[in-house]
Amino acid sequence: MIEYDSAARRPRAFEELIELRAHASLLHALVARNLKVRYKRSAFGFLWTMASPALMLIVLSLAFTRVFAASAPAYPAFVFPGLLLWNFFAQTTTMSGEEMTGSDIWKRMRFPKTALAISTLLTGIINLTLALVPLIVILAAAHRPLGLALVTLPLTIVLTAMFVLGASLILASGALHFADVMPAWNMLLPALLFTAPVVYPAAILPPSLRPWLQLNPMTLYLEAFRAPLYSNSMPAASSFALMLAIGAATLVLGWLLFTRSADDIAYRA
Amino acid sequence: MTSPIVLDDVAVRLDSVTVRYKVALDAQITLKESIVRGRRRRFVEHIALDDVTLAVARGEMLGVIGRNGAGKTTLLNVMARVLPPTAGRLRLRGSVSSIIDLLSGFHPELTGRENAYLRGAFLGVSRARMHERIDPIAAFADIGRFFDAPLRTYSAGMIVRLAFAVTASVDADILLIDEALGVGDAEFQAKCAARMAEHRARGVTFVVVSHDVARLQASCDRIVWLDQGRIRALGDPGDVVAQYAAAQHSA
Repeated sequence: MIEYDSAARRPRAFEELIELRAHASLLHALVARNLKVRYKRSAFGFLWTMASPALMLIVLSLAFTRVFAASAPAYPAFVFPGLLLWNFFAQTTTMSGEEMTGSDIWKRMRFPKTALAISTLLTGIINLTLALVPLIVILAAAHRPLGLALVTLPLTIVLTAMFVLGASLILASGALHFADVMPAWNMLLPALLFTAPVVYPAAILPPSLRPWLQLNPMTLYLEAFRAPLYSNSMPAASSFALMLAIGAATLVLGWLLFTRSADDIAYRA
Repeated sequence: MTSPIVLDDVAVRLDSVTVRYKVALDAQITLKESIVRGRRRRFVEHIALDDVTLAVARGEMLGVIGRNGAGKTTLLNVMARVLPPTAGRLRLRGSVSSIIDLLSGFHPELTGRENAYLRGAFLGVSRARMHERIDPIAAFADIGRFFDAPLRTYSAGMIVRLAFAVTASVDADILLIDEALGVGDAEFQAKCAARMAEHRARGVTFVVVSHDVARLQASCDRIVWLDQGRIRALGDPGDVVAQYAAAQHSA
């Protein structure tokens, strides 16, 4: 028999993990909801998901293919992987922040609240994986060398997902306390795009400026994601170690921050 | 009158539970205001539950009555662990399922069937179990072909039916029900009452909030009357309802 005693609760960060286990079907149901709601009403559901990166790809390719001809040959093949991963980061953080603060569902039902962020993340991973298909087609059309290095992609995606989930939870705990966090984030995102080498190759920056790109953690993940796709090269082991360290640290911080404040939110608003 | 409760047989136990809400006087503070002006959001305290001590025996049906704002829904929210008590202690023995709100967990674009799965998942029901239960849920809701139509096409009564059908199909040890939500037409009410009787025969504990005092009096083992967050009376349904009615008339 399940017993509960409010005087003998475990640390919130741990309690949340136990509740997630008990609500395993909730993640499945929420991902199914996210995909259905997005894809159901229009036959072009997936195309709509791809519309924003595809448009960006076209516009950027028209503008920069000649500019970056020397530093990033076959520019569309250079820019598309970065756009997809950035899109994954931007959409997941925005959507989970908005879902976790925009509804009062958790004032009515008891369930692990991190499930909202995790299901948004899983939805994003599915969309990213689906987008690999048109991505590979474009790379093949651009005669990029595709090979063994591609096997590193799943690992890179998992490590990126750790970081993105951590960032989402940090953002959500901020948004629980302050009304302007999500609008500010939406405003900041387009600017942040240019603090990472998504649109331009890092090589065009003067050597003195290049280390600054690393201040944006996404730089690390972007380059590891792009390397096998664009130049069939595997990221260095040290770069995986760093991605794991940053991802784990972000996730732990986000988890602690969020589970600490999530319980009290039923009292606010 | 009520028999003394052996601790072992208690399904829900509240010891001096107090819930203090902070009611914001201003809109939510922004990060900018907090940094630039050092502004803090101003709150007034509202005591929704005040030192409530209460035990619900396993298999018991407890009715909760009181005026609007007396703390009835807050009491259910505490028992459902949606609201952690500000002070005091809550102990539960057994799994809890609740219907405190009709729309939570439903999505307007999904069909009744898909929403049933989603709501079940929020309530912690496994997918395999929902597969077994989905046909009985459809039968109980009895909304015909609308079960496979998007929720946005539903009437209010159909949403009530779907929400209650899902909750009624969950195997919880403790069921928390806010009937003030409305329970559909007479036929559906009879169906709900029959289902509740089945659950009670299995030993399920009920806590039911309702404005239908006469019905609670007929079906509950005990009734608690909440007034401004405090227990005004607790005990035999006839006694409590009589006191409640007398107070209504004198007020």
